Amino acid sequence: MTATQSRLAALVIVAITVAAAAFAYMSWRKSQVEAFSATARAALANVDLVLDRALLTVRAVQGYYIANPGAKEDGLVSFVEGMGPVSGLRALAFYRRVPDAERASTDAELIRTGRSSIGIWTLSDDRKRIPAATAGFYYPATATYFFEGAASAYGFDILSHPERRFAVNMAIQTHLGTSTDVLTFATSGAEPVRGVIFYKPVVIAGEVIGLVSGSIDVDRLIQTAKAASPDIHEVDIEIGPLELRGGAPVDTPNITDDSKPFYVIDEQNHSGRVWQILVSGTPDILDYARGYGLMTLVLLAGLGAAAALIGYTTAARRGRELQSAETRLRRTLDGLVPLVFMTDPGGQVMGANRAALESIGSDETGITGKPIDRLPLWEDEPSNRDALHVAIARAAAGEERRLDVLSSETELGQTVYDVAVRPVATENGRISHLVVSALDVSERVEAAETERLLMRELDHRMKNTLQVVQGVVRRTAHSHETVDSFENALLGRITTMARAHDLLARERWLGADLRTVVLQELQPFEQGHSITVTGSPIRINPKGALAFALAIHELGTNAIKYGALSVPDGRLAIDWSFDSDDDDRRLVFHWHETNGPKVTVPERRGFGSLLLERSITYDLDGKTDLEFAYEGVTCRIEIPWGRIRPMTASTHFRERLAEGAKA
Amino acid sequence: MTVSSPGPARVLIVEDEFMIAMEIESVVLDAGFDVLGPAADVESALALIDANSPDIGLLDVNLGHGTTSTPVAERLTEVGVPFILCTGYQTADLVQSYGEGIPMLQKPVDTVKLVEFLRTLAPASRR
Repeated sequence: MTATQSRLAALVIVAITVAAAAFAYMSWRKSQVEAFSATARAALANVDLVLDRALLTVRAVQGYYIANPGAKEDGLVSFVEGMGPVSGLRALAFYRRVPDAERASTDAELIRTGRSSIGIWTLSDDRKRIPAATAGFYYPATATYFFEGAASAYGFDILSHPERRFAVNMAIQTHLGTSTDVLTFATSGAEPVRGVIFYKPVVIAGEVIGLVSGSIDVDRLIQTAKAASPDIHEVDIEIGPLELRGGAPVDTPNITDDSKPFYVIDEQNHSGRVWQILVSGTPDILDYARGYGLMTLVLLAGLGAAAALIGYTTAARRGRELQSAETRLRRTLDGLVPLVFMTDPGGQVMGANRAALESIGSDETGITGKPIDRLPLWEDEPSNRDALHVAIARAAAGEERRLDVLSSETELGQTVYDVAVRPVATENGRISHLVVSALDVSERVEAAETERLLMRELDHRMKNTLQVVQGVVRRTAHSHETVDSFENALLGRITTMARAHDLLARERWLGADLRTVVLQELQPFEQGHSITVTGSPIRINPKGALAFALAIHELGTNAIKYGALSVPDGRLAIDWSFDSDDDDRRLVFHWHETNGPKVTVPERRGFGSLLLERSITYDLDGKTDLEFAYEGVTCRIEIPWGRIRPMTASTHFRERLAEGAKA
Repeated sequence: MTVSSPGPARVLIVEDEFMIAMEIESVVLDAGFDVLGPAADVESALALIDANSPDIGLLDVNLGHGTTSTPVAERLTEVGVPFILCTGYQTADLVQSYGEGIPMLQKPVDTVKLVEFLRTLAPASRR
């Protein structure tokens, strides 16, 4: 994965994480809102239940009085108790319509029964009981039923009370049930109790004969609602103004609005007033912590994953970069032509490149820990060890060293290495290891050596050749009577030397092939004669090549003058081979003439035969056996191989190195 | 000086090139001297000195294969035999160490000069 890809992936993860966190939070929030909504509805159902039962009870009492207009208080008590307890309802009361004409008798009756000491009464502004002012009629309480203990209300003229008058009047005038605003009950003791009073007119034959009232404790209702769940913090009840437009009020179905989170409003109609019950709350702090916690967890997990991804790809990339740098370095080293070794400052091999391993024919473990001067590559040469040893010691002291090292001998010969030993220092200057590189310079050394040899040989040859020509001229002149034969013999010998030199020059004076020498020298004598040369090619040194060239020239000259090559049918066979496989073997050469004229042994030994013999015997330790047999001349030449073995430039170099090591 | 038999003085020829050896041999013989050798290398030269007591040495400085006539020259000095040096080039140590007082011949050898040197060095009775 590239850096861009991983960054993109991390970005996607972050985006998904944020979305997931938002989603988690919203889901949590939604579930909380739904849970609250359900809680609020349960609370509202509680309120409804209480309220409905209370209102039904009030209606039932209304029905009771319509059916029994003259019922006494004990009738009401037995009726209500027959229905059983009704929570939420504080009290029930019946207010009988009393015309002013009956005021006195009613007052007297109330006082007589001890129910009210002041007859029909009302509350003063400072909430004291005072006799009701004279009016056309009164609605004093004549029967009451308290579900809970409360102050007695007998004789209380409901119509006289400024807070309640309006609702009462409306009930009397419209013959419909009404209710008050939220007020403080007249029957409260020391603690004021808030509530709403419902009024239901008792109408018989179109006449209102009294009112039934039912008091509902609002605080109790609120408590009932709150009891539904601890999540509900507040419940409030608001009651709208009395509206009795267009006839009878209709108790419409509840309308609940829970569109706002944690805030539910229920609207309902009761006796001409709109009730709004508000339920509000919040999830508790623990729930919030849970919601935010969830969101944070999701965020952390996602961001963590993104960071990890980026971290991982960065680390992976660094790792790859490091690895590829190492691989590149390794490949570069392996691609180098020179042998490269890494050693510790003591010269112990720590590693090597491919060229080095291939030259040694070992794998890296095979040479690790070995001293560099003891590698099989060059350990056979004793001079190397000291030279390398010194070079390592110097390099460990911080010096760069360069030296020529000759490899151990293999079937391919010996190799000359240009070896450089370099110290590698760490940043603090300590030498941590050494780099030993070895470049095969055999070819270059050989070329330089060849050039040197060539120059020396040319100088030597030229002077010797002049000397030889001088000698040949003198000696040839001595042994030839006529100028013509002198000229022929002289030219033949000089040409032979020139040809041999030519051949050697082509071989850079390192030697020549015997077969090439033989064929070249025979060329002037061939001229349709049957000559067979069966020896195989053998390289010999320049001295040997010159000797053979002269020998064949002298033998050939004799053969074409007197021997087999002087007649058309004459035959010549030439062959050579080694007499054994030993180190001190000898090269054996045969010259065999047949089918020529009868041979006679020459009367005197000429310069030619002397040349032939001397060329082979002198300084080559050879032997010539020239026989003038009757059937044809034969010549056997034998030379120790050691005397004519060719030298190579590297052999010369080796000799010089060995001398240098000695010095 | 060693006691020598009467007759021509004997010249030891040390030369690795056979053609030159042959040439010098014939010059020396033509001049009326006897020839020892020619020898191509140090060993055979030393053997000839031991066996035949030469009167004069005629030494080629370089004998090929990196060898020189130095051991021969040393031996001749030991036994009091004068010698002549022949050289193709001037760089050899031998030339430097024996340069003064030793007759030198440059190759190719001037035969007239060679014979003159031989006559100078040969014992008076046998010139």
